[in-house]
Amino acid sequence: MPNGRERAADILHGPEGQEIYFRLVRYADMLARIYGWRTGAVLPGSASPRSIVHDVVVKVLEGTRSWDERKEPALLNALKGMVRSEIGHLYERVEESLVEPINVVLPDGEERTGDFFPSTKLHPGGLNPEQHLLRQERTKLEFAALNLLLKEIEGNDDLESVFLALHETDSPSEIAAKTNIPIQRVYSARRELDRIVARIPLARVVRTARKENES
Amino acid sequence: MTDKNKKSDEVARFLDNLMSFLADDDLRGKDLAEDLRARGLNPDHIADELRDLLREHAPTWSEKAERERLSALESFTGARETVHRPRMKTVELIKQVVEQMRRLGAPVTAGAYHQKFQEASDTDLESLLEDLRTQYELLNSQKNKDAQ
Repeated sequence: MPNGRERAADILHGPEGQEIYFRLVRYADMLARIYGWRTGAVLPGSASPRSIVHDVVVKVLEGTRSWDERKEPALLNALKGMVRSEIGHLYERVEESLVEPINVVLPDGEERTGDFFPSTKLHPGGLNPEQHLLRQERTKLEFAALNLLLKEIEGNDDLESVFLALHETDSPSEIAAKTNIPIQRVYSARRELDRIVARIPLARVVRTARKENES
Repeated sequence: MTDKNKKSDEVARFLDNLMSFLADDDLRGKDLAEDLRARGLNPDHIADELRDLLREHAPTWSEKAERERLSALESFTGARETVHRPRMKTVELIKQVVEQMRRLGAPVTAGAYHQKFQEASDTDLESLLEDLRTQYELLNSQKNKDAQ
């Protein structure tokens, strides 16, 4: 039985190879856009959705990353998981770089970072002040993104229903059941929603978050 | 949990669900290419990228064979180049052999090649030199025999 590396090469050389690659690039583009909205940052280190897809596929073909066909029979799904993990790690690093310790001189005269704040000591699982600030910023950006999406779907009944259902589930069949919209119309709404997401640039989300902050 | 925290968790969950909901698509062929264009991505460039990537990291048997053939050809050419003499030197040697043959009183038909030196390839010149040397050796040995 050929290994995952050989199987991946066979599939990518085959008739579906190009389509898998296209769909992967499309997926990476969507993920990077929404991660960007939530963090207010572009992909770091001159990475792009395309470069991430390229690197992931190279890693699979070279055996640096492995595809276990028994665990995930569809190559596209396996590659999507790897792309999601890569993009997730890159944005985590962006956030880590933003959490600079705030140096504070406590009454004992010693300088301490946010990690030494009493609240952090009392609640080890809680957020330190820098993380708390970052979370607040992130929430503002997420609210701004949500409001921009809401404006775009206004007046479209199917989109509005799907939008509401997305607060509870990500499954098209569950959304169809919750909204009483036929599954084919849920898929159409998904395509439309995807186009809307692709139309909202990061700068617009950041600008909206700032405006909402000022008002 | 405060109302504010609850709301922010709801928004975060919505965006998580949105990413997951949009992860699947039913686009095919031209629609997929069109969708990429709408995102400002050129499907032709992406297709080229995949082709290059596969050629580099997962070559087919024929691509491997072609790569090995080119590599062998390159090493062969490289090896030849190490013993290859400059073109002008070959022309000079031809002229010297022609002159030696003339001194032996032989009709030098090779003189006709002179005009073609500019057009002839390096390989042709090397072969002409070899031929003339052989002819010269024959002529010389004949001359020596005659002298005895």
